[in-house]
Amino acid sequence: MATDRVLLKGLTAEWAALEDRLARDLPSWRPAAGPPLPVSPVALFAQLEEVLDAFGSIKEAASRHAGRYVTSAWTLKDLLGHLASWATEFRHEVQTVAGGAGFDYAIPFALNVIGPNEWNARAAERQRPVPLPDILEQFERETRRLQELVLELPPPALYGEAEFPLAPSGDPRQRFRGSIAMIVLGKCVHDLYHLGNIRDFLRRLER
Amino acid sequence: MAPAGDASPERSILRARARGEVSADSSFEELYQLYGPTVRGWLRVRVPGPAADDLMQDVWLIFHGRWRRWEFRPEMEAEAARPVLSFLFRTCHFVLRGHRRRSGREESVEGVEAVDEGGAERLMREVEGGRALGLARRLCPEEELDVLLPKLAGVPAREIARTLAISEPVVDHRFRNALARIRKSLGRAPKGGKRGH
Repeated sequence: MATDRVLLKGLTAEWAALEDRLARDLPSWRPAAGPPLPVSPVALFAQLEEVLDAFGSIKEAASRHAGRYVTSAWTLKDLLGHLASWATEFRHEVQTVAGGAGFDYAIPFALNVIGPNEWNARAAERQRPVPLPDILEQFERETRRLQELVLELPPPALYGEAEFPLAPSGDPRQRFRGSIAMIVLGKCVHDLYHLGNIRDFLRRLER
Repeated sequence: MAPAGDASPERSILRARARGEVSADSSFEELYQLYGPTVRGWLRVRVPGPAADDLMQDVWLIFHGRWRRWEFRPEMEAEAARPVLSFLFRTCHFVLRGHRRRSGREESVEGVEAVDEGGAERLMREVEGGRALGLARRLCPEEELDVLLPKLAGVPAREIARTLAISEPVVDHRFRNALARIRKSLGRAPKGGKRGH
């Protein structure tokens, strides 16, 4: 339609004018000096939203190929169970620290591999009898609960230092000290790493 | 600066970074200069008051983290692909969702926060050569603005559809609806108004 073309041209010109105006006093993206910007609750929420979006994008195809092996030991369902187990663990850690409580367990990382393989193996065994739809639901439910928590918590709770069960040195007595915000960011990196691999795996299968 | 060539500015920056010709920091700065005004525009049109610039920091902080581990995929080389712009659009969408959830929560606890509608309106008046964008902002429902604004900035329809979890025909439908709404309202504008020619 000719009138729509004219209108679109006008809108595009107005949008370009708006961008020009906003470019003139574009703020520095962060202060040049000083400590790094804290990740705001909204930014934490948004990154968890991206995780949920990535999860949603693989769910259907993953359900079709859940029995396929992604490593010599784990099927795709096991890997999804791994994500769900960690979703519960991360949410539990955040809720525990936010409530002012501590932990009576540690999750030591094996020093020669990525990730805490003993904890992962136990969690995988627990998830094996669980039906796939329940695993998918668990991941989404726990991630959404974490989203609610980051929006609810006051800044001191979100950014204050606390001790978590993760023991990346392999020594269970040397537990990770950090903030809830760091744990949430860690979950996002962890989940997006696995979801990216799942997406690539599924693309190869369905090519 | 990114090397000159026939590629879009985004593609030139991506290629230069993928080949290791520019650092992560300097290419990030180039992308910020390129798309900072776009992201700011999206947020200013959607969020009244100073909150828009805070949300802009959130979007770029998230992108900064992602840019350091950016995956350069072959499909991103497609002519119409704008992977960075698409990522920024998606992130804006998620950030806005979080902002609204949080604002709703604060409203219910602490009462309605005062909103600087006047400042945003003034900005729109300042930058408008015409009236269409202002009308779009006032008349179009959220779902149509969600489509119209990224379309104006050049986000591929496929990426808009993916972010909003709708199909491409629905993107097209909402876009046409937005245009029709603005056209109808412009048709009703009194003669001798702001744009009487």
